[in-house]
Amino acid sequence: MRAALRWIRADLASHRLPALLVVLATAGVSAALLLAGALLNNVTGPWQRQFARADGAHVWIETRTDHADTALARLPGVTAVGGPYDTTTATLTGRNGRPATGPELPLSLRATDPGPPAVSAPLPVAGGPLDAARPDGIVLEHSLASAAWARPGDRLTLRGPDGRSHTLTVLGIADSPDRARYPDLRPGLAWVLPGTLGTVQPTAALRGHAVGLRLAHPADADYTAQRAVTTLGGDVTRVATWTDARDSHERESRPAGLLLGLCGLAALAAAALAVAGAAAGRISSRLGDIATLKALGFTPAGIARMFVAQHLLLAAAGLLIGGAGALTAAALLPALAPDPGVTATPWALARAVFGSGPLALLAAPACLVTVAAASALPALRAARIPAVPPADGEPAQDRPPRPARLALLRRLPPALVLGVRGAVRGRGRTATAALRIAVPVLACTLALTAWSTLDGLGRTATAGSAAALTVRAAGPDDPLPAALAADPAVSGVHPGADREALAPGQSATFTLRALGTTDRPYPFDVVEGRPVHAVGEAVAGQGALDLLGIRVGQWARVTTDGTPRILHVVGRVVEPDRGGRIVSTGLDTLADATTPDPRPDYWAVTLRPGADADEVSTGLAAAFPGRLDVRPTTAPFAGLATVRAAVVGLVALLALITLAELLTVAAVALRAHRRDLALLRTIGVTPRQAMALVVTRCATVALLGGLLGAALGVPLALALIDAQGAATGVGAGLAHPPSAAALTTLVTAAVLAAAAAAALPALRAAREPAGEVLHRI
Amino acid sequence: MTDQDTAVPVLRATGLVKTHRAARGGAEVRAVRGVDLGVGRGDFVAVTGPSGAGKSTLLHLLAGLRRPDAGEIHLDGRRVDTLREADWAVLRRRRIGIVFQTGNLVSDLTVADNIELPALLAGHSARAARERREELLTDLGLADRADAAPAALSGGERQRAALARALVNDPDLLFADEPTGSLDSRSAREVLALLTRHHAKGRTIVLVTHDARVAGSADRVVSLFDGLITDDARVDDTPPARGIRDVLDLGG
Repeated sequence: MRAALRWIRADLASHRLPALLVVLATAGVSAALLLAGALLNNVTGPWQRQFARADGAHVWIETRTDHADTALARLPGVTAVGGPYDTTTATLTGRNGRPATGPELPLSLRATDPGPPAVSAPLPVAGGPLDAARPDGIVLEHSLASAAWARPGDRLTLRGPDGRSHTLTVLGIADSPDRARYPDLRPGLAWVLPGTLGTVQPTAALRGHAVGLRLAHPADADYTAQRAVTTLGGDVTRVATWTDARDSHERESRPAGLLLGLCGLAALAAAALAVAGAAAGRISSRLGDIATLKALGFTPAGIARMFVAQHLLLAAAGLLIGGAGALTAAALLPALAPDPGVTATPWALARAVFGSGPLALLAAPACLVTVAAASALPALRAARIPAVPPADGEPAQDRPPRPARLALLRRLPPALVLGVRGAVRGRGRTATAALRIAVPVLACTLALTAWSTLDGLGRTATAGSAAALTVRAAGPDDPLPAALAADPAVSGVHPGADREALAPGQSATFTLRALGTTDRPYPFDVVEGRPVHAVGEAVAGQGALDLLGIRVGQWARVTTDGTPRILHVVGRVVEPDRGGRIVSTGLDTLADATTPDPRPDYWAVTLRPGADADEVSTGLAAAFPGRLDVRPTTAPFAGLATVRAAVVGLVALLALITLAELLTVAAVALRAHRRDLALLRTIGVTPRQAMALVVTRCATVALLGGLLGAALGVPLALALIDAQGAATGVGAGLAHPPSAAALTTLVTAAVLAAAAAAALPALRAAREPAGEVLHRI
Repeated sequence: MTDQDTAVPVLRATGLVKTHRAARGGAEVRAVRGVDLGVGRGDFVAVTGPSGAGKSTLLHLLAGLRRPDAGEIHLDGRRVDTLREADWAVLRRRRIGIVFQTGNLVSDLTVADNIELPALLAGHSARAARERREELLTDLGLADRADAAPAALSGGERQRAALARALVNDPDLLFADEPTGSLDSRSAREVLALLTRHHAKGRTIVLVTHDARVAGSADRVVSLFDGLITDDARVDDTPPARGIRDVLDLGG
């Protein structure tokens, strides 16, 4: 043991750069895994904790009958029933005595007693709970309060279902973890006292009733929801399960966390290859020393153990650095803070990073096991090296390579000829080296594709909402579209209306979005099938297709406002909103006997290329003072900004790993050619040419590896991102391949880095007196 | 004959055969073709012969660095050619010291570390290893080069350091493969003098050389030609009675 440690110490001291690269690669990978774990935990953890704290309902049923609870309580698997709570709809029209600056928000008021209910307790965020002494009090659900810009103490003006106005005071804001957030789920939720609800909707028969069910097995939520619908029949107006709520609460950062985790795993694989390569290089450069160590009395197992231990030591150092790096990143990145908005103590930060769940707990063992496994194979090879020093080994080829003479005769640059030829001729070795470079380059391509996809989402209108602005007018205003279209920056104005829709036999609702008309269709970016051409046709997001269980080209039966409709889904759009659960059609499709000319709720305004959405928005609002609410469309996947940082970090990490690989490739190439180099120099190749030869060879290998990695990486990345899109309901068609320039830069960088990595050792080797090299080998 | 010859030889090899096979169907080289050799305790045996006679291969076989194709090796009466590589390694730690032609100091270790390494391997404490190393380096005149890297040493210094490393565990047997092969005559004389001095202290030495003058320092010269022993003579006044056979007979 002591002897092994002595050797390890000396070896590390004399080969600092490769050792440092192993340390840095491990540090980077472990930090990436830790941060991914923390991010994932931050995304999933709070919701889970809140759901448990609130005793959230796994299924919510909204019905028209007020005694559904007894029937529902008898359903198998139901452990507790909350409600029935009387509900009524209302519209938030104003705040603090003024008309609402934003759009009028649809509300669902739920009557509860001041005390906390057994099922689905509101979790206070700000202010207090309902108070029996304050009959004008209202508590807003958190996301609704954010959308309404409401704070405790605000006085809200509500329009009841009968058109009368009521003024209520915001007593508090609370989270409701078992309900999807506004606007994923409209209307937004607010709690009032039963008496207050009675004032807003005096007619008991017109009130709705919400029942929350807690289940013994949350996984059975869909089944239970289905049973509830069959039990209650046509009285059910809405069904929601906890998975909808979870998806809504986690959607923004969940893909980011998953992507980070995937990137961490990809980096782990690349690091494993790099460590294996570095270990193999380390060993093949020390064949003589290893033989001597064996002659001195090291056993084969001892040699193998020593090499693995050495790499584990490096990995352990890397883990320490990686852990510290992850802590620093967590302290700097608010997205990773254990409790957003609160300054974290170092202890809380450490717990958030290291104790955040399986990914974080497994990060260290995963890194150690990977490094051990990656170094074990070369170490076993080292163990099998014969104990006879290689000076007595096979005689080397003494024949000076012919192409060298030919190249010199033809006055071609011999370095180029020999370098390329060496790479082509030693096919097995070149292929191995090129493959090793191809892997990190491939991972880089994945990262670049993720980046270009994000770019594409931010820049173009790939996502369903092509409109840059949404305009809502206070009251009917027929000249409005013409007035909007008059703005030179506006390229199109499309009427729009969103309706909640229910698929038959489904527990979840989706949005039926009417946008544009059949004559002037909205410019949906259809990625599959074709755009809408006729009344009754629709395009859908992947999430809606999955929900309805149909494919493009099929018909779907949906129910909106109690009216069943048959839609022909002719195309699929990339739909980032609501998990892709949106079916879009023309406004005239909504027309029926009762409403032959459906009114738009809003106008979607598309802008000419180059127009600044904020500028136009301000201009329009100023042109119609007090009557317009103009909102720029929020960039879809805004939460994925974290991913950009992750991509940059990943590319840096991969660059490091690639560099390690290139150094190994250069070292291997040099070792293999040392004698050839010396021989070439005896026939007139200058040291500079000899150096150029090695550099050319390494660059050729890097070029092959880079091309291979990029060629395999792009289709793989597109497939992976589309698969991810399909899994989140957004659907395929999201992925943007990186630009040719980016790929060219990547491969060029690899080639240049290879040349740089090879140049210095090659120069050193080329300057060695040829006679000495030939004598020694 | 002295009582040295009547004792059980410390090292006895019978019928050793070793054929080198070049990779990928290359030619076979029959390096050792049936060698019988006994080395008595305290012997200083020089194995000599022209290039390619199989001297180094024989030494490697005797030191357990290569496995013979046929034949047996006994160390202190115990058969060792059947040992696993790991057991050979353990055996070498305490019983066998080896010096190669180019010294073969581990390039990343300092001279001191190179010498202490076998002592640490044999289970000595770091302190004991250091004391032994200091003692040896002083003895070999290298005390001031302890912290030098092998590359910074002259050829003679390297060989002396290698000798120190081979002696650090007080092995019964010292194998030296052309220890003076790459040295100038003065360094070669120094190294030979050291070997002779340690032989005088009672150490058994097997030395491989193609240099007749070096072989002359030994008290027994075994000549090898094309993998076979052609002569086995003592370099004292008494001519060998029946060549190698008497040793074998006594041993058998």
